[in-house]
Amino acid sequence: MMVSDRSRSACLAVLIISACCLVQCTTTTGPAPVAPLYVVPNGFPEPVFPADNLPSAERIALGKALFMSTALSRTNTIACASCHLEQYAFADTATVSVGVEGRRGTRNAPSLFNVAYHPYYMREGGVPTLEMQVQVPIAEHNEFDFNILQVQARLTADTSIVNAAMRAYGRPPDPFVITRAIACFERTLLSGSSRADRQDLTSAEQRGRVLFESTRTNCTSCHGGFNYTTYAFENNGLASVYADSGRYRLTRSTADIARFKVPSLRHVGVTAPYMHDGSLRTLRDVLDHYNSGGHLHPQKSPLIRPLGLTRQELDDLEAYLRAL
Amino acid sequence: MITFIRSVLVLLTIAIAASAQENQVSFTIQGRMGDAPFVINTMYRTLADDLYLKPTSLRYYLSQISITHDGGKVTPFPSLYILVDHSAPTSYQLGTHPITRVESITFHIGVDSARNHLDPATYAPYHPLSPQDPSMHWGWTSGYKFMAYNLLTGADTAAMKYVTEIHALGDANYHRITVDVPVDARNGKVSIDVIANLAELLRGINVSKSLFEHSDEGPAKLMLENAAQRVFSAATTTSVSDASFSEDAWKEQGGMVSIYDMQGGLIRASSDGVPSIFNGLRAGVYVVVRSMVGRTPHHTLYLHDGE
Repeated sequence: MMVSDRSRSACLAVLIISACCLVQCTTTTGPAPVAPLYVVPNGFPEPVFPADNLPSAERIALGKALFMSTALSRTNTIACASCHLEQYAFADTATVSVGVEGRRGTRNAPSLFNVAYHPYYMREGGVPTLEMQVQVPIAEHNEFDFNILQVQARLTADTSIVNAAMRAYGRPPDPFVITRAIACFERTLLSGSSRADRQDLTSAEQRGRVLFESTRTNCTSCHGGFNYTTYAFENNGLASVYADSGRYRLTRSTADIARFKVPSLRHVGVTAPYMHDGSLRTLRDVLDHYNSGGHLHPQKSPLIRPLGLTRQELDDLEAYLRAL
Repeated sequence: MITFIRSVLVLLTIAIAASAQENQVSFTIQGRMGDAPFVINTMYRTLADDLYLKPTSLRYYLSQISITHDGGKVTPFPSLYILVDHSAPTSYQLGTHPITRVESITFHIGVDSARNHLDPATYAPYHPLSPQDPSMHWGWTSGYKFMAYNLLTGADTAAMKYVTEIHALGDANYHRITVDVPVDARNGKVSIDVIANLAELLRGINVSKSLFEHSDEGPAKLMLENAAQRVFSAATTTSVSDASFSEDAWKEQGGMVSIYDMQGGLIRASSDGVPSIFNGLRAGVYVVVRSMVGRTPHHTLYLHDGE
């Protein structure tokens, strides 16, 4: 099951990126079929691109090149793609991401699929745009540990990048171009049309779906909508004491202690490990956690309580989640 | 035709009258550590006099700057953002304005909330709010560091082994500061000189061990409160004694001394052969640069009361 889901995810990502490349490759050879820059899955709204960063084949291609480039890290060893692995729905298989010189971060890298629809970024929600989010790992000590002006200096020495930047934005690869291009590429990482979307489910998955949408589990209270998230900030009782204070570090409100942005469940079958700190290794661990009602915590959501699901029901629920 | 000429003459008269009241306004912050000039990479005693302290960098934003003048008029500078860097000259040209008698200057340490959470990458290169190196922005909070103070401390000058970094931010720590600076325009210029006694930044903050506080609370919050309440005052007209500097000793080592005005113009240099570079200097604020082959030039702000 895991292998087939991962393959599906990988194929989808390759298709999306290939579509981007197709536009770039065909623009210089006369009339050719116009391929879309990106494909919006059925039932999804059109992603909103900011006015200063409307998509083009050149911008998406440059963004992809920068996303894959280690030039963004001080040691020239880590790229965005180092932790956002295409074959795992642009998530990481490591518990927490590892930055330059083997420095361990404190959080698990989330999937980037459908980030175009997020109203804010980071687990505490302090970053309002994808363009600004790009600047976070570049500067973080445990990630790229670099400065975007030094990234600029490094990229300016690369003629191919300079030319690509000029074609895409009419200016050299400065902070504006670096942040815009990567964000533009990330907005095209759209994924839908899963078996759950197509209602192409086995009987076990259908039983799981009924459970998922039931008031018995209340899964959709937080994981509702086409992207299976409300983007709210919740404490799911993962622990009684958290090393990471979550949204509190942003708002300084005690009500926000250890509350984190609810993640999307799309491709959840391939994005292990789970939770903000990657502390749950498997999807079954996650289901067992919720079935137990979690740990006591003052900010724990009242929706998190013992569910009393049987082994068969857990199997069904897991099967459905793997079809998302 | 006569009406037209008359209109032109009236407009010219108005323009001349207006321009006659316009003066070039400059704003200078004189960094001090008590009575001594504040100079990066220079050794000082702490406020409690129990440790040595060596600042390695100090930068902070000023925003929402306004000048009260001429009987309570207020001239705001709403789009002016200054990144004060105490490793460089800290004098700023504010342009030409109808200001003849300054009463006070008001500013805030940090970046106002309306701008604090905007994208640095959208500013033109070299704008104070554009990306800086070292960075003055924290990505995950989408906010600027209001003040970033890095220093070393130690029990003796040979063992400055403790590292302190206090990088302070947060909308709640955005404080307003008003300094009464009575000063009149002279020769078309208005020079607003403010002293920043930067020793007070660390009042109540324990730096006897290494301290890393990059946040909006604790020592970071206190440093910004100190900045708002204790640091800034009007410059006096007495000269600044630069006890750490002996002009003769410096020249004997082969060093050069140069004096620049606040616009960057070279006033004189020790290579001119003058016995003392300070003799006969007119009252005012200058930048004194000490240079020596193979060493980084050393800049000091110098307030001279004339001789």
